[in-house]
Amino acid sequence: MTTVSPSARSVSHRTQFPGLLRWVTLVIAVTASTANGQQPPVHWLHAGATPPGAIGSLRLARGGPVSGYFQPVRIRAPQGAWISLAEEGSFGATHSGEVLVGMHIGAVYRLHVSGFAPDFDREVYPTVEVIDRLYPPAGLALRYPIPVELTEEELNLAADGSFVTRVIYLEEPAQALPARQYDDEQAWVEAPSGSDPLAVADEMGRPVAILRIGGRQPSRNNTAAVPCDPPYIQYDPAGCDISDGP
Amino acid sequence: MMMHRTTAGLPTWWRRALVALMLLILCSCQAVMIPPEDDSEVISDGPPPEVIEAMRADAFPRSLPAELVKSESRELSGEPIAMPQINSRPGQPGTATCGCACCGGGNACSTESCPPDEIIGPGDEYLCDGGDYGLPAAVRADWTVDGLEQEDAVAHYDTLDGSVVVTPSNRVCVYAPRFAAVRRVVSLVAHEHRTQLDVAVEQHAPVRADDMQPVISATQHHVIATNVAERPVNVFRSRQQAGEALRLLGVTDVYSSLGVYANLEVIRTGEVIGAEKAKLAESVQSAVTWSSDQAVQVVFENKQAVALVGVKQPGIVYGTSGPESPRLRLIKLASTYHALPGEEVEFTLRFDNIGDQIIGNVTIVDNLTTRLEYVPDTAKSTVDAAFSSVPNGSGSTVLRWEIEEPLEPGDGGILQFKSRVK
Repeated sequence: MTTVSPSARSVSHRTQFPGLLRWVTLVIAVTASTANGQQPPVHWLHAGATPPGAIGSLRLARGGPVSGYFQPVRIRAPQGAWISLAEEGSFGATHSGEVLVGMHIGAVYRLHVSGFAPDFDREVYPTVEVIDRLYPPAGLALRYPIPVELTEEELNLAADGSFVTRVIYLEEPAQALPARQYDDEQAWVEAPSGSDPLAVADEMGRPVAILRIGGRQPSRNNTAAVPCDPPYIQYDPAGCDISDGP
Repeated sequence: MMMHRTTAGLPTWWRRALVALMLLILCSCQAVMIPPEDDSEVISDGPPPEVIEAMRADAFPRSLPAELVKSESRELSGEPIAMPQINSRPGQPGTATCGCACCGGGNACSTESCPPDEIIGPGDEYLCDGGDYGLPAAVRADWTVDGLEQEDAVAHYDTLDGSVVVTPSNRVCVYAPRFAAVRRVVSLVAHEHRTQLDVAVEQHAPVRADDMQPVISATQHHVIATNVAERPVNVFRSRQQAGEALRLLGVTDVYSSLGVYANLEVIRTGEVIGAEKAKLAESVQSAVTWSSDQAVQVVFENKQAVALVGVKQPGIVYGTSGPESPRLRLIKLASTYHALPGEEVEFTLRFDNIGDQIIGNVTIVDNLTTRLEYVPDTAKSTVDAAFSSVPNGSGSTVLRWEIEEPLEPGDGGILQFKSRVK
């Protein structure tokens, strides 16, 4: 009779161990999913590397007062550079240094930038995609546009073959850096290696526009580089009076 | 054998313990709520329907009727005070997705309470100052103020019965969006490295490939050190000036410098005149708008503090019922409702003792938000007051006025200062 007891215990140990493993696995899975659900809301399904227009289209699909709205955007290039926007299959009038336009949300606008230092004979074709809008008080929309800065360094990087993605975001006031920022300079940070710039911008504020600068030149044979020419409204930067809202 | 495996599993009590543990873990993913410490009624985030009806019928529809406003009271002592409630801060997304640009982003936002032609949007485009949000402000025995967070502006004073009363100002918001960017540069050099690395893996050991192809050479454009250097927090701390600018100005000096937005009878003398209601409503549009549905903290010792005025005039007035009730009104105005980075905004604080007893040690404290920088030597006061500005630890400044003389019933004064939008 006494020989039965050790045998029963050994059987019990063999059966308990896999059962315990299952329970531990279940607890870990539940814990992991709980921790996952506590992450801050960001563009998890999106990435800065998605094709131009994809993020803005999804923003339109979320609804809200964004469809059909012309969001004022101020595009500024280095001194001496020329900017022109694509319209009707080609590039329109050139602007020196700065242009203030109203852009649709979700659309992709292609630019032609040329005449920047140091060589002054290079040209690049950035795109601007507005993915969210601002809600200024009535009549102040033109005074507070989304600033898109084309820096000399980034234009030359693109001309040398690099691809620059710049996600412009609205700073969260509670997390804003206590640093002075004036109208002619925009603070920026480099996305850490391996991270997505859109995800980084999501954590620091509300992304509103994506600027992409590459070295590829549009051509008739390259369908991927056909100029993106959705409708836009051009404003006079000098006439940005408070009463001149769109 | 199979039957033995199923019946000889974990004991029942062990299974139940595991189920209880999992339920506990599942419940822990909900938001953490700090329960009220005492029995005082917690102010809800949004007004009940009867309040909304009363607000619609009133000339200043964003102020709550006095009988419907509840507050809390607690005793003040030198001991640390457990804060009974965490209030949501308006004008900031995250906690409340119903953000409303025109009325502060609180949960009570509705299209009815917004001006016509205004589109509801997030509140992250506004800079706000004033009020008492987050942890309620409280005064210790050594006159230090706890719970004074960024954007908070409060006044505290002593009453004849020895109580210390804390009164927040109304909230002023300025439209001042600021943008920044996150950049990523992908160069062809990186692609070349990846191709070469694949070849190296086929021919050499990975360790050897790592030696020959240092990955860091592919990330030369990611200049991390540059980013760190762009925000040296210690630099901003260094420009704060502790114990700055004690400047006393006569009444006439300050009156003559009142801007158009603040040149009102209620600011000059504290008296509300019906003829100025329209102009006052325009000047304090942000003030009234942004202070509508926010919980305020007023502390009286062993007494229930209720809002006495607030429907017909801006500002927040608190007092206790009784033959001798101390009351202080604190009104805050901003010179503009929108500003670009680099522009200056002038703030005006009007305080009045509208109670029926003298109050002393009146101190007004304003903790500026991160993006507002106090302009040195711009603080003014119509009464004798010791002014000081000290860094608040987050790159901005705490402004403090200590009114030297006790305030008789009916007395008041004006404080002004300028801040620059960063």
